[in-house]
Amino acid sequence: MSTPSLELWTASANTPFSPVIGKSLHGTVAFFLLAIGAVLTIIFSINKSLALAPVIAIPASIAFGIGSVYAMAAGGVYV
Amino acid sequence: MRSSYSRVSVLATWLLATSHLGSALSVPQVYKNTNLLRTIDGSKAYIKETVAVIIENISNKPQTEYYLPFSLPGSAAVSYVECKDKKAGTPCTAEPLDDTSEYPLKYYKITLPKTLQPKDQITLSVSAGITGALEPVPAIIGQSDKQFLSYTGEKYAPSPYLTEKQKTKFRAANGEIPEYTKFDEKEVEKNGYTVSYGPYDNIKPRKSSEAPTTFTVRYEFTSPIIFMERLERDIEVSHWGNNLAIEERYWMTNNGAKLKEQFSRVAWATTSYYNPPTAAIKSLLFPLRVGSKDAYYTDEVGNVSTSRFRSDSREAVLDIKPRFPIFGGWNYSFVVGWNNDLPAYLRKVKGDGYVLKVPLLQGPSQSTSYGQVEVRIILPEGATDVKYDSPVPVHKEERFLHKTFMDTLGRTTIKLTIDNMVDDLKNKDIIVTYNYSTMAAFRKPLTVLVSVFSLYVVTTILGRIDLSIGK
Repeated sequence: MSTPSLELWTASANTPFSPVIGKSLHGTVAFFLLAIGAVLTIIFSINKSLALAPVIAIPASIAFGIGSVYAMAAGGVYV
Repeated sequence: MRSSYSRVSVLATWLLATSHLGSALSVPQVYKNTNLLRTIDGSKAYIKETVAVIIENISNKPQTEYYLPFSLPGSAAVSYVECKDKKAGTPCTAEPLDDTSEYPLKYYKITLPKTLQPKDQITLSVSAGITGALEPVPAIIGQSDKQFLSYTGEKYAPSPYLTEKQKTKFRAANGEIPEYTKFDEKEVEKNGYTVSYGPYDNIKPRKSSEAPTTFTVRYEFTSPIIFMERLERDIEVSHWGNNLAIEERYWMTNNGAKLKEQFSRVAWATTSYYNPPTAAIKSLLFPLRVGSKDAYYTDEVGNVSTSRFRSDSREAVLDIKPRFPIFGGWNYSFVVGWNNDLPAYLRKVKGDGYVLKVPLLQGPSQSTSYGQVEVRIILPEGATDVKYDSPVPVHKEERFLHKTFMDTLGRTTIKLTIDNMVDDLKNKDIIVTYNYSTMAAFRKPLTVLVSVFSLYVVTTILGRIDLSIGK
């Protein structure tokens, strides 16, 4: 029996969910992002200038933010 | 002993039925059943009753509604009813009536797939899963004894209409049927796995004050009667992880005949060598969807290593062996879970919309009935406008936020409770639609980002405070 939901599912056959990064790359991407975050943190800890915050602290925060999500996924905790 | 118990049960049911007198359900006499074949399948852990009936509109007005009752004595209950036009294959709807005045008959209102004009006929096929109608007889057996089940049903298929011709077939699990009611040599026939009653001509609708004529069949049933008293099934969607995680927590019992003596491990090990049929649950086979991976099987003690998981391009099968054989009346609770890649189950629709299609119930391949099933569909944090389309009627729905790793507000969750399910309802998909914006998707990394950045700012400010003593 056809329902509106089933019709919606059938109609969207050409647009399956496409992830930004596949499962096999979660670990690699997480490692690189967290490594970048760690290196930027070390640089920032040497020279804690507020002027450097947009150049170093913000990219490091972004790397840690996305890296931690992928690190969890790589460990089997699908957040 | 057994027959007296059965008579008491039938008498109690009839007395209860007569107590409803005076408020009998009134069904308009607009049809006659030209030919009716009732098939009762006793080869599963529950009864599957199929009624194939040719109905004729004998009124002078077009008709769309037909009434069909199922007999449910004692603790028996209908799990599901499916109906279709047997020739065209067109499905029709069957709704239960709340009226209990005709107890033990449970009436269903069937909306015909097409309007039936006067003198027109249609062939309907109505199937129902009925739980709690089978009883092990004897109720206590030895460890390696054969198990027998007993079924008692009405001799004439219950109907509120005149039935010109009818026949009932009972299908057992195998040809070993030591006892069955023999009304008359001519009207009863045993042929291999089946016992047939009829044909009977011109059977009028039974009055609710009349006690029904019943038949009983006792037959060998070598499989366990698997009953999942409770099942909690979690379906968790992760967009970041590109994953659909499924976890099932079972509270299982064997409703078969109980053990006469204490369990003998030595006798069990000896007979297991020959792998004879047994009424104990030795293993469960979970056929999963192709592409399933990372399967696990645990119980209250921890990981159970006696399991095998096979997944390739054609199939995925999880074969688990409980720590001990589960005999009649014994209980066992366990957890199984696995992962799937999300694209096979989730599609993008317009704007921020998504549509998810997942099986509502999977479970073991062995015939199983379920007391209460709770399905939790855990969507990503920030999902809104959640709607669902369930393949079976839902008895209770709850919506809440489920908090787990890296959540701030909690994940949007719907919990559906369905009572009295059977394995015939397996692998039917539930479709869920929801909206999930990009902002909501970035909530998790943004939370970490803000926390880490705050840490940088705090350390910078603290580093600038001069804590030296004098100059």
